Amino acid sequence: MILGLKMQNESKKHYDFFYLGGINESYAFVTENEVYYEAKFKQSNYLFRDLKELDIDVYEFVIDVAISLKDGKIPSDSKIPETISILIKDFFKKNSKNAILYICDSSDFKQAARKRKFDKWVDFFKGDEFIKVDSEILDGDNNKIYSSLIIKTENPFFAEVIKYFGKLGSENSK
Amino acid sequence: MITVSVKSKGLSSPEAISLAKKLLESKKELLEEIKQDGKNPEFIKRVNDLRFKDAK
Repeated sequence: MILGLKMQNESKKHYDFFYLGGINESYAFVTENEVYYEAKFKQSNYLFRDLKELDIDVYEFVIDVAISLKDGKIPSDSKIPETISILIKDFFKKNSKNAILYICDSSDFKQAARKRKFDKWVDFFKGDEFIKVDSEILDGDNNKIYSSLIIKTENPFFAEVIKYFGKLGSENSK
Repeated sequence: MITVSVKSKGLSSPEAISLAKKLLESKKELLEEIKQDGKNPEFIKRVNDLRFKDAK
């Protein structure tokens, strides 16, 4: 990494990120350890037929390492949570009527750890500008699937969206 | 951030389970795309061009 860029990154609490666009609204950032991360926001309105009447777009959010270190390790990095939170906010700036949905992979039974990680990222969203609806879906194998929906509180369809996702948790939800 | 939690007392509705499965499948595809992007020289060049643009 060139010296100027390294010094610039060291003085900040987060990394600069770059909007790459594309079908799945891609973003990228690189850590001071030269680990490349990519985030994607995929429009998923096709999954939410009941929300069709509302002027709102729901996007699935994913983030992962695109390029790790040569030894395959991913060092712990305290700047990543804030970087991700700013990146998500940037996405909302482009269209405040969006909602994002994050689902935790449960195939290896590490979904609870992934949920904690996601909560850590969005913990940087202070105040009441955003609302997060956490939902636990219990499948036929007693496998818990965690999902979170984030929407701006000023969204005109706020109540309808919250009601819809609330219902999805369980028919017997509390 | 205001947080609302919806906790399941029992098995979720078939609609909710089906939606979750579709989302997990879609997530798997997106994660694979990210993995492939990391191997794509054009992606790496594009990111590096952007990150070094203001640092020169």
